[in-house]
Amino acid sequence: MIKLTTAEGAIIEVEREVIEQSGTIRNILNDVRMSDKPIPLPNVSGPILTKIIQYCEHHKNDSSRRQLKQESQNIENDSSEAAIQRAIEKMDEFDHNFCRVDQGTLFDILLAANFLDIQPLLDLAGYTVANMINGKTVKEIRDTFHIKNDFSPEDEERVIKENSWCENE
Amino acid sequence: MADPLAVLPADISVMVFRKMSLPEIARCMSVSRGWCYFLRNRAILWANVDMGGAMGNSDTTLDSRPEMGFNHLEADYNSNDSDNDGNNEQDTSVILLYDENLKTIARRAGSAMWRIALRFSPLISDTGIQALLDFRCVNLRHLEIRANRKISNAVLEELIKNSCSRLEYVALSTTEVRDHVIQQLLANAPNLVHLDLSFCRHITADTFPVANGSTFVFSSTTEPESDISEINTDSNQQSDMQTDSQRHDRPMFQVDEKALPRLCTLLLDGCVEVHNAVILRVLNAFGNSLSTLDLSRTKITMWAIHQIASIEHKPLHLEHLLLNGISIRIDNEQHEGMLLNNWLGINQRILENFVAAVPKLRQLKLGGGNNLVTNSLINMVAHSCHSLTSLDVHDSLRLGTQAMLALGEFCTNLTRLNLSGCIGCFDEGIIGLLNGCRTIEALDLSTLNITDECLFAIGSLLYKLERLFLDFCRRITAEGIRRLVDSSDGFGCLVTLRKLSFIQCHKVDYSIVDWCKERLHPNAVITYKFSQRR
Repeated sequence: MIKLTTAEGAIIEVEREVIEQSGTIRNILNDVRMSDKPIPLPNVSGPILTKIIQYCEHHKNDSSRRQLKQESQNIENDSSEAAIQRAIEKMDEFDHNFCRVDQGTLFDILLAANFLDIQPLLDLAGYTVANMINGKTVKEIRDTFHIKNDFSPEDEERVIKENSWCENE
Repeated sequence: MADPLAVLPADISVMVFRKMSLPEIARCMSVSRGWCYFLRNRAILWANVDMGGAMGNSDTTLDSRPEMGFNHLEADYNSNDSDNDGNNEQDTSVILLYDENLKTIARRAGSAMWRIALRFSPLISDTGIQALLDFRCVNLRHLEIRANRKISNAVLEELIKNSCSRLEYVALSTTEVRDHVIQQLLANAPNLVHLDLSFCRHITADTFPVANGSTFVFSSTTEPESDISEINTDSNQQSDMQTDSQRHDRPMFQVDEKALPRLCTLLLDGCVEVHNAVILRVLNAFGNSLSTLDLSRTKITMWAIHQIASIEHKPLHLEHLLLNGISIRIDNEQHEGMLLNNWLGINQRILENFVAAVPKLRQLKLGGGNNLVTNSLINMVAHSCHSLTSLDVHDSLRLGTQAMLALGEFCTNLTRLNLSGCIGCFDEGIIGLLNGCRTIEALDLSTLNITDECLFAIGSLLYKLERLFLDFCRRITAEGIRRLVDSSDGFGCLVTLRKLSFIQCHKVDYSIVDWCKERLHPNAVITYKFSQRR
């Protein structure tokens, strides 16, 4: 068992096999000899870490996932739409439900996945955020994220004109 | 609830935006000043210009293309599908780029630009391509410009000359590109793997170099003036100057064997000026790597088989050889007359040499109504090309039972088979074939004189069948189709069938259509039409 210290200072125990999906932890464990000392994760809060461990528990057995991950990095050659399609196919029901959280939590998961270096989770959360933007009008995007339109009217018109081609059907 | 750009570090934000398409990213620029500034200055987000379009749905990677054997059938199937459930809605929207739009994107991407896929962009002209050069978008690995007649050869050559060192994938189908541009590409792009010049009417065999010991010689080419003046009517002054210098003949030049790219895919279908000389040139230059060669609907004749048989460094790596619609016309070339006699006499040795040269063949297309596809040719192919999965010999009038039985015996991996118009094939041959090839997924038996017995065999033997074409099969009846769908073990193709076509089958009536719709998968497409003829 591996001990992890959350941002709040609480200690969470987790199986080595499960948490080794995190590149960061894997590296720490490889560098440092196994010890009872907890690994401090000062920028991951308790609730988020619990959530991430849930994800790792669910995916601990898909060894193929690691290969897929490699693949997805190679497929830069791919059109983004095809890549998205493929990624969506890879997701299972757990993944879909996993991302049904409020925006704040989702962003925290993204940050934690980035810090812990869990590529599939980073992708999953990334796609979820991208999906919140995809297919929306500018106003809907602003509403979704509570962003204020701070363009001057002239600037806004200029930007819209510059990108007018994106609205062609 | 917060602005992701304010909460997330820049690299994560970039990761998120990279999962979106270019038009979506462009739209996001109008959200706020922060977003606008952020997106404008992330070159990597603009580095992959993929505007979807006609081929947006199908993958353009190397391995998917060979499936095109049943392309027309496939396309039909897809479009009907989208009518049913609106799944493909996204793919049908085409964004037309103008020169200034391409310029905007080029400015943002700069030298990070690595992929340009303009599959349907008839409005892009020299100005747009010049913008790519102006903003140093020359690290391209993927260049795809289809269906464009406005871009001049001069500008295209300039782009290729500047970016050739990294180019891996080039598709210029249905453009006005000429030999000398592709010569430059072949001589200077060592990483080139995929070259698609389908339906380029100016491309000739001179595009490809002639082997001369260990060097390869590109022949001189001339550019007709008429063409230049035509193009210049709508291009700017700069390209006027460039084309001026091009009126001279291009001298011949040679490159070392090692400098040539290891081409895997070469598509020349519909290049109406390409004649037989191309075969030897291409196979000598790229035979060690080439796996897909498409010469359908060119001036190629059956002499092609002869030349492949006579190639020196055997065996070739060819897996996909597409020669649909090659002509048997005797052109000016002297050897033709001699060959034709040879061929009609069926020279066994040539056939043996041919199949020995292409042991890895997986896909062969020789359809299109030439009398030279005979039982002995198919026999020979079946005997030695056991990995054949896709065969298209439509309208081969001389094929008969013998060839079918050979396919059934040896080519048990067949998944796609087009026998439409092979009127020498009857129940016996087809049923024998089906007994061996039980994993067929797409089957075209249009116009064959088959009976219900054959349909029954299909129903009970082919457990993976997805697409079946029975158009103009005059002898089949409603009962046959019933038995096809509801085969004896109740497990036949009922589950897998997604497309069934029986146009102009006299003895079938409309009632069977409803009956089929009830039974088949809800997404299955049934095409039918019965004339009023009595």
